[in-house]
Amino acid sequence: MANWTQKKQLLAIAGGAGAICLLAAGGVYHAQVQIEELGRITLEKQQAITVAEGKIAQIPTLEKEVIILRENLAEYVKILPDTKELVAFVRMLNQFERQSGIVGTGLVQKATRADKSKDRFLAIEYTYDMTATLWQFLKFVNLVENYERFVSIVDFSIQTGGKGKNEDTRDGDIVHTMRVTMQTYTYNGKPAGKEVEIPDYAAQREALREEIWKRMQAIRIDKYEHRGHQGRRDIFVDPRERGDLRNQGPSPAEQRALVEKYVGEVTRLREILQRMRRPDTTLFEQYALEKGLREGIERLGSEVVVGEGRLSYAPYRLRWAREVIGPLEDLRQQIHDVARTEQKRADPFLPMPELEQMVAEMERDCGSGMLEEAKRRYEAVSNRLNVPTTDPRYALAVAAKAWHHKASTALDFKTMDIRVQGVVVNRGGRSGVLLNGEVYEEGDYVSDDLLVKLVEEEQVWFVFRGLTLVRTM
Amino acid sequence: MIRINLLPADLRRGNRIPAKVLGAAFAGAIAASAAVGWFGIVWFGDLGAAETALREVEARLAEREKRVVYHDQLQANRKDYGGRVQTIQEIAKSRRLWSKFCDELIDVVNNNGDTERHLAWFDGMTVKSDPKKGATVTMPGNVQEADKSRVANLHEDLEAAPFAPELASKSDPTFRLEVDKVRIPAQSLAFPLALQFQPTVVEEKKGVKKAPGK
Repeated sequence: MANWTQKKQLLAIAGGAGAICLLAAGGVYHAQVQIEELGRITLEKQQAITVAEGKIAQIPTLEKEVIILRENLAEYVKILPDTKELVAFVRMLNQFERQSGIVGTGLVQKATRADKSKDRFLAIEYTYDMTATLWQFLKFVNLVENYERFVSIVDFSIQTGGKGKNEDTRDGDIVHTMRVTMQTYTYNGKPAGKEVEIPDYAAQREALREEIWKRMQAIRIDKYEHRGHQGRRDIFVDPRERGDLRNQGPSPAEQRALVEKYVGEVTRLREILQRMRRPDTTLFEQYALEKGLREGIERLGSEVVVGEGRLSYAPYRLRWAREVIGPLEDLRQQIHDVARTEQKRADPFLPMPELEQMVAEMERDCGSGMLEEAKRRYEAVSNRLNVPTTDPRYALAVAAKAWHHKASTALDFKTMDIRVQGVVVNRGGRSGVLLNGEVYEEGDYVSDDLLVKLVEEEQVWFVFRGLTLVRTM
Repeated sequence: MIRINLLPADLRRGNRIPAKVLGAAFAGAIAASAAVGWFGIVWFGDLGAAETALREVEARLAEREKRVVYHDQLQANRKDYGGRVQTIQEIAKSRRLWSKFCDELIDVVNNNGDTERHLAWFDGMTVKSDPKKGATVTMPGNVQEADKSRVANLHEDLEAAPFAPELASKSDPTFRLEVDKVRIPAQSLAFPLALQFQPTVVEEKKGVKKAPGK
């Protein structure tokens, strides 16, 4: 190197320094690449952390959701029978058969797929053959549909009976032939993966009880209460009359007239009820109307039993049920409700204003000779006049009773056979009267409760049961 | 004249390191040192810091890993239970209450006993359910007498029945006059009646039997 020229030396130094710099730059470049890679990995991991934190934040919600679903699922699957319960279901069909009155003729289970383990819910179908009236059939179907376990009627057919003269009947209804296919599911409760263990499960479940209950409502299976016959016509029976059968009852026209007569009667009773409820109807009118209504209902009740037996034409039987029997029952119920409401009243006695009004009207009736009216007014409410002596209405109740006594006495007196045939008026002494062929003087008793008080030229005064009454000549 | 230089070779003027070389060497040394220093800073500083940051992040991630696994298990459980619950709900919703339908149909046909508008009866009834297309009800029917408007009246009443909104389609009114001399009145109009119900559950790609809880 000592022999190198200066130029060579400079080149060597520059080359050496440059090589070192290049090596350093290469190292720096390599380090930068690594840093970038590490930075990328770090970023990815940070993103993973963000995702993980997001997931961790979801854990409480997920736990709640899983608890709710797990608890609900346990309840939900109760609607689906397991294999053992299928046997119970068949037994239940027998019970439904007895309850509905159908006659089962065969139960066949349709083939199910062989690999049961693959399906969580396995459909099972039964085909049930039966004979029944339409109403028995509908009751049976309804019982199946309202069964505690989920059973769906997927197919059914009705073959009508009663096309000939000798139709098979039950309870007066034609028997048809039916086939029903019922479907239910068995549940395979084996979990798909590991069932996660949630810490503090029992306490969390307790806290979520309300939410679990709310969600449970979503699975409520629709149910329906079949309304029964209700006088309706079987729509699978030809309602027309058979000309080849002798009909001993009334003709359809007569049956129609019968229905309309009773429909009219029911309408009249309904009108009475409406009048009873009108605010301008007085209490006394109400009592009279109620009495009339009760009597009308009682009379109609006994008549409809006979009338119903005379109806054979199916369409009129429905009208009868809808427009006579139904409204009559409704009227009975309403009258019954009125009676119950009255019983429930806190004050069993007539209110003061009504009592005052009644006394005033009785006085007016007695004054104008309308004794029957006065008597009727009192008797309509007599059970509500036993007012205790401490009650401020006592005096009015006594007054009403007194007017009733007067009216009754006067009416009894009126009906008595008293024929005044002649009088002898003695200004200085006791006058006399010829009654029913016998002579009585003033102060004489005609009978135990009838006394001749005063005899005048035109009239005779009597005292009857403590009440002074006049009989004119 | 001959000049003889008796100084050792390295002290001789002509052999001393020239200032240029010395300067270059110094500059080269500085550049090399700077480059090495830069490398050192990058390698041991930045790269080290990146490695430390990564280790920290990995440690944090590892800390969360257990909870994430727990989350995923919960998620899987929710999906599993949710699927089963949905299937049960679909099963429950898929059911049509035929006793209700029959009650409503009987009411329509009975028409509150009004026989003037129509007096109809049926020769049978067949109900077939299809989860995708909905249930089909087939009923060959008749109305009393030859008044064609009674068939129309019955159809009109069926269209206004409580179950009508659930129908996807209904057969149009047609009729054929029939005479049964045994009956009074003898004439009636026979007609076919087909009611197509809408499906109770909107089917997804998989059917109920295949989808359940999976």
